[in-house]
Order: sequence, then structure tokens, then C-alpha cells
Amino acid sequence: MNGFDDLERQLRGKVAVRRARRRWRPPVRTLIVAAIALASAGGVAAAATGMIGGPGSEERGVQLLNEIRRDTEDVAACRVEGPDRRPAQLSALPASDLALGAYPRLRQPATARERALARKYGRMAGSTTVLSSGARELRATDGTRFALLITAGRGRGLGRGADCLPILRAELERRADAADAAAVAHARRLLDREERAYRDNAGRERLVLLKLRRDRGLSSGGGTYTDSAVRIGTGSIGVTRVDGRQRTEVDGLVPARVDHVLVRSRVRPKLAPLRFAVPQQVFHTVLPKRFGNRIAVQWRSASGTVLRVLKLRY
Amino acid sequence: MEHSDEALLDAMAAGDADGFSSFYRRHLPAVTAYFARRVADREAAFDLTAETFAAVVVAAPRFDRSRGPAIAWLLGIASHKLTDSVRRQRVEADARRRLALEPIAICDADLQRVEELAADGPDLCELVAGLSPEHRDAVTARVIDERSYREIAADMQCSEAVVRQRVHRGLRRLREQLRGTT
Repeated sequence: MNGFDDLERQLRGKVAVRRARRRWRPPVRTLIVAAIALASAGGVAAAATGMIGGPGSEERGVQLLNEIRRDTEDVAACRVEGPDRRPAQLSALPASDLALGAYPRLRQPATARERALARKYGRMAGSTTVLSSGARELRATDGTRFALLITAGRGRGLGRGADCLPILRAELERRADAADAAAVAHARRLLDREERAYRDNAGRERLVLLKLRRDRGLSSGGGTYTDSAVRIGTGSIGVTRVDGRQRTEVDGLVPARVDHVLVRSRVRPKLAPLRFAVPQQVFHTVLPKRFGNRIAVQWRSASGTVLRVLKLRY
Repeated sequence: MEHSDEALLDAMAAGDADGFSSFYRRHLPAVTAYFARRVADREAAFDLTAETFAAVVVAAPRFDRSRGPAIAWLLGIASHKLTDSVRRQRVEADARRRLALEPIAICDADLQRVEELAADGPDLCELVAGLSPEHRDAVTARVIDERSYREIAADMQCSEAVVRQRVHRGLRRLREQLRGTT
């Protein structure tokens, strides 16, 4: 879902919610006026609350596919794999030279604990296969723990593999006669796109950073294909809720030649940047509120040269 | 059947989410293009668009069709958001906060779309500029500059009724043009 669609989805929800809220807490005077209005012009009021327009064929296609996904969740190939379900397979394949060059810690053998992490979270990293040599537990300077995994299996998403696609297709065709033709056509296009993504990414080495939380296990993650990224690394920003309080967290993985990371606010550029050392090639921070929702993460060498700037926002 | 903007806003005020979707899709290209051509930062253009439509959701129940057509109302909201952002040097998020919207992650495709709309999208102000001089001046003074009918009538040396008629006709023409471009 892109940003414009997400905006529409959220605002649609708010339109209904705001109406519902107004219904629950009407002032007495409004109630009386509404009662009179309904009694005298019931037809008009009913027409105003009726459906106008309706979702487009694309939206109906997405809805149809979502229904099919929900209905096939119990089929083994379509099951969303949590960390407590089937563990990922470990592969003895070596990591690529590019990955080893950027992350020299990967040259050391993985510990038993790190291999266990790989098995546990491999599927959450969107893959069935994790390189046994590519699993590391890293710690940012503020103590936050991360799992760095190198995956080589096919697929993307949280555990729902390419094997599920034929099942989704079959179910779509089974429902095609009863459903709207344009929505079915769009759902078919979405499945085609998904299949292409699986095919194009099959076997590609992917470097995934997952944030681990002591209280809730896995929290969030991000990844990058090592064969397509010139300067491989990740960065992510997201809003989390801890003890009922909302906060914005930023984290990232940086290659070996990065000495430190500067985080600047793009909303208030005059604010002093935050500086983080990256001894284990990861950083993490809770962003001060005054930084706003847009930041720039600068990877810097020891001499202060800016090696890369990642623009992040939420 | 295509519903008027005013009918969609009424439906929205009555809690009809589909009414909002129809309004959003009809005017999204024009509003995005309006901001994209006026701010250099594509993300800021997206934020302004999001804030404008959030303000539409907040204010839809207060929309009063006797004060002018919906397109004028939307243009007024967009114009205010832009003025505020220039004055405060940042895009405010009042309406989005009020609605408690979740943060929206925008991707390269969104920025690309903003870029495309900046190049090819319909521009509300250009459409206004394309109106006849009488209609253009009246619409600009009333909708963008938010001057009173009395003031405008004094400037134009005509009656308030004539100004109202010019604004009404200008906006009707504008609405027809927007339908043709979106």
C-alpha cells in the first residue's frame, strides 16, 4: 500500500468514527432538533446517510484478495509463520564477499546462540533459509539487541511463502464467477506481481536486521539485497508504544568503514544533531519529539567525511 | 452516477466513508499538484496534501453550501495550509493530530507521483488564471484572498450581487474544468 492509499484508508476510517462519536454524545438541543428533522424529513436524512459512490475496482480487488488470504490462513503453505512455529533451515553456504567485506564480524564463526536466533527468526525475516555463517547478535551502544541475519531463500513478507500462491490463485478462480469481474482482474494482477517478486528475488542474498526486545521478542526489522546495494546497510524509523506512551525509534546497520552516525532533524535543521558510535555496526535511539517526523541519518568516517545520507520519515 | 462535491461533503458529514473516497480521488491530483508546484520539497507537498484532506474530514460537518461551492472551500483550505507552512517554516499537523492518524510511510512511488503531478497535474490556480478576467478577479479576491463581497464590490465598482454572480459562475466553470482534467 502506498502513502496516498494509506492516507485514504485512514481518513475513511476517521469519517465513520467521527460520525459514530457524534451519535453517542449528542447535546440535548441537537437531539431535539434532529428528532424534529427526522420526523418531518425522514426521507432526506436517510438519503444523506446512504452509500454514495463505492470503492473502485482496485480497492475491491484488494479486499477480495484479503478475504481469500484470511480464509486460507489455515492451509499449511499459507500459514503466517511466527517465531514459535516452524524454524528456518540453516544453510552452510558462505556469505558473499560483498557482505563479508562490509561486515567483517561475519568472518568469525557463529555461536550456538546465534544459530538458534537464525532458526527462530529466519522466517520472520521473510525466508525459509538462513546462512548459518550469517547470523549475528549485535548490540547498539544503548544496549538494544539486534539479530543480523543473511537469508538466501526465496520470498518476502512474514513467513507466507511462494508455495501459497497457487492456493490463492485457485481460490480466486473458484470465487471468480460470484465476484465482480473488474475486482477479480485486479486481484489476478496483484498475484502476478507477487509471483514476479518471488521469482526475481529467488536465491538472492539479503541482509536483514531485526530488533529484539526483552519484553516482547521481535519488534521490527529492515533489510537490503546485498547484490543490488552499492553501500549496503539499513536504516529504519518507526513509532512504538512502550508503557502506553508513544515514541519514535531510529535504528540502522552500517558497513565497517563507518565510524559514527549523525542523526539530524529535517523538520528543524538548526537543532544539534545526535551522534552515535557504532562499535558493533548498529545504532539505535529514541528520537526526541522536537526532531519531528523527518530525519537524515549520516554515515560518517573517522575524519568526518559523509559516506552516505539516508533520509527517513514516518 | 456522479455526485456533486457538495453531496459528497454532506455524505461525509453523515459518516459515509465512500463519500469521502469519491471526494478524495476526484480532487487528489489537483490538490497535490497545487502544493507540488509551490514547495520544492516533495515530502512537504505530500504532508500538505495529507493535512488538507485531514482538515476536510474535520471540517466537513461545518461545510455550508450557502457560502459557496465545495471547490472554493477546498481551495481555501489548501491555500491556508500553504500560507501557514510558509509562515511557520514547517508543515503543521493539527488536523492529522486531531484525527489521531497513524504515521504514514511514504515510498519512492509516492514521491514519484508527486513529481509527475507537479509536471502534468491540474493546477487550481492555473485554472483560475484561465477564467475570464471578470470571473478570475472575483474568484481570486473572494476565495484566495478571502475578502468580503462588500470590499470586492467597492473595488470593482459594481454591486455585491454582481460580485456574487461572478464568483459563482467562475467557480462553476472551474469545477467543470477540474472534472475534465482529473
